[in-house]
Amino acid sequence: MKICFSLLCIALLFSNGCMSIKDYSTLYFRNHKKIDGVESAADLTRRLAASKSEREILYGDNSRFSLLATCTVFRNQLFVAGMAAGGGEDGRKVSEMAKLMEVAYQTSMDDFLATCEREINTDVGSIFIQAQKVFAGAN
Amino acid sequence: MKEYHIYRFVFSLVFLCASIGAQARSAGDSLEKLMNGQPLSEADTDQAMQNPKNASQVAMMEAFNLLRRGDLADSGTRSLVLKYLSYAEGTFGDLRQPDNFSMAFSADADTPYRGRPHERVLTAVMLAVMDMERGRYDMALPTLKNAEFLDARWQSMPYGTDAPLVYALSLRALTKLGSSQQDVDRARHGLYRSIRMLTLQEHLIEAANNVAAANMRNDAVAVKIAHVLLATGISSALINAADDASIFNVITAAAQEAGTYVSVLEQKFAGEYEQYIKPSMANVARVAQIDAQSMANISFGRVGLELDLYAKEIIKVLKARPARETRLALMNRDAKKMAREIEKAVVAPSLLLRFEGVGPKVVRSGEYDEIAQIVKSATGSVASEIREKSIAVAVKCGLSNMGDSLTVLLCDDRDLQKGEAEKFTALELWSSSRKATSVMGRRFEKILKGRAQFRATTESIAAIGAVTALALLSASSDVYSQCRARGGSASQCQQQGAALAGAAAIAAGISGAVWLIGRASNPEADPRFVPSMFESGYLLVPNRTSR
Repeated sequence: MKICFSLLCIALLFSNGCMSIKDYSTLYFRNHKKIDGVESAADLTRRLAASKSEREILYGDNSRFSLLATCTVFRNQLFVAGMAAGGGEDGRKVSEMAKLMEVAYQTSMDDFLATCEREINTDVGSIFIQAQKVFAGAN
Repeated sequence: MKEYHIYRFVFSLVFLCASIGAQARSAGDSLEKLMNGQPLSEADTDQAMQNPKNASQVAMMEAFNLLRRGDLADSGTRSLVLKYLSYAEGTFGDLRQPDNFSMAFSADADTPYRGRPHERVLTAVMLAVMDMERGRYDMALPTLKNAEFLDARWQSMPYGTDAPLVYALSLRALTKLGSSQQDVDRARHGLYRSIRMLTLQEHLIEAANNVAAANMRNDAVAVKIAHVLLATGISSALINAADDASIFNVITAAAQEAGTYVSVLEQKFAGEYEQYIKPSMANVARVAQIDAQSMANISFGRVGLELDLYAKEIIKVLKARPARETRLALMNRDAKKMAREIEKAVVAPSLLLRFEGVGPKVVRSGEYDEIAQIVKSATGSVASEIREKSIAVAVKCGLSNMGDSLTVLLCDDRDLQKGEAEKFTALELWSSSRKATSVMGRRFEKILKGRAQFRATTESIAAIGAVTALALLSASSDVYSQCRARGGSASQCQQQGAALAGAAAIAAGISGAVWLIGRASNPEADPRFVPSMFESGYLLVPNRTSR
């Protein structure tokens, strides 16, 4: 009975507009299924670790790469959240941010970084970045 | 009277069944002997060739069995070898139409056997060698031309194969026949570029993949496509770029060539596009809240820019690592040096060739035997490289077989006899195992439904790589035709087509096998092959100093 109730709660959480910004911000890290169009957190971590020397040549010093890494994960968070976003105020906010971010990401590195810097400084963005820190710390 | 007719009918039926059974047993016995490397009598071989499905395979098996074990001093044996090689080579003609391209790897055992790509090329090469040995360079030349395009990449492109032996022998034939400088130069370019391809391809693709793995926008659709296409273009550029092109020139050329067929991916490979690219783009479009077609337009429209950027990034990484850049430049220099040495050897009055080892086997695997697995020869190498070794030989002009190997000394002066054994450096310009497991140097693991299945090298770009190499290859001739119809020059159009053909090779190398295995409607794979093919073809040059 308890299990059934939990499953119902999860189903409701993911299928309607009851999710909070915080819920949306952690979806990417909690998802373990392959989603076309976004690399999983585990795969991204592995790939970046394996290509460290090339990254340093291509993206320069640590501060620039640090921003890039933050933005890449932020985009991935928004992508998964955007896929799940339903109605409700929070869902609409997330959906709009994901849309702007995705268009920029698909267009060019410059657009991507400019949009990222703008979005991470919003209220919604800061909650997503906070989630990154929590999950980065946990891993 | 009625009973008499019944008895007669029953007797005839029994006799017929017995005859058919005996014939089937006889054919089975003959095939078994051939598979075991035993040459048959001419009558038995001709009998075994009665079945059109296996005639070409029987002819190839008998020819190579004779080359290994027959009495090659006997002109009758040599005539038989020529007869069967000519027959087999003649049957490859119906593979030249693009519609028949799926037969390149034989979808199943019910189709008439036309040899696997390595068997076709080596059959034609051996036929040319036999003709050259008897001084008929005029007959060898068209056969070598044919050999070039019997490879998996067989369309009418500037250079049809990455097997240097084909160009080396062509160069000798052209020189002996006093052909035009233009034709001689083409063979020289083909020789160097095929060596360059074998020497550098894997290293350049590795460098490109490393840069791709470091990219921070790997999920941008245009970036994904660019990664695949540039790797694709590397193969093409190594064959097509000018002889004096630097490593950086090759990378830049690869980006340009790869950009020529972006639109063809969507038009010609709708199935793969729907299966792999569209789901990713559909999700991106959903998140970006634009329709899928607009998303596709945005992505494909940006591929050219991403290709350019990607090439620049590879060059930047190489420049930042002078040791690696120098290594690649040295490899290129060595490829040139080797080509010059071979050129000298092939135009000399006498030329030594050596064929040895036993080629790869084909076995069935999978739940329904739906996969043809190629098992490389114990002595073979599937790596993109030119192996060399030192050997001592003392032979007279002509053909001689010993210990399952074949040595050929092509002589201008047929009375020439080398008394004492001389030491040579043997350069492996032909590898059956490599050729049997690769399309333009890119390795595949198995064959399913007549299509080569390739291993994924990087997960991020595996999806687009699933576009089948062979489909790309077949499309390259369409690109050529369309380009010509639009008024493009022959060389310009050949370049575009060649880019696509090269693309196939690399797209192949990064594709995953799982999807296609899942799609198989369980036909049994074609397990036929020619077990007596030689594994290695060496061209002997005077002892080389260290490279």
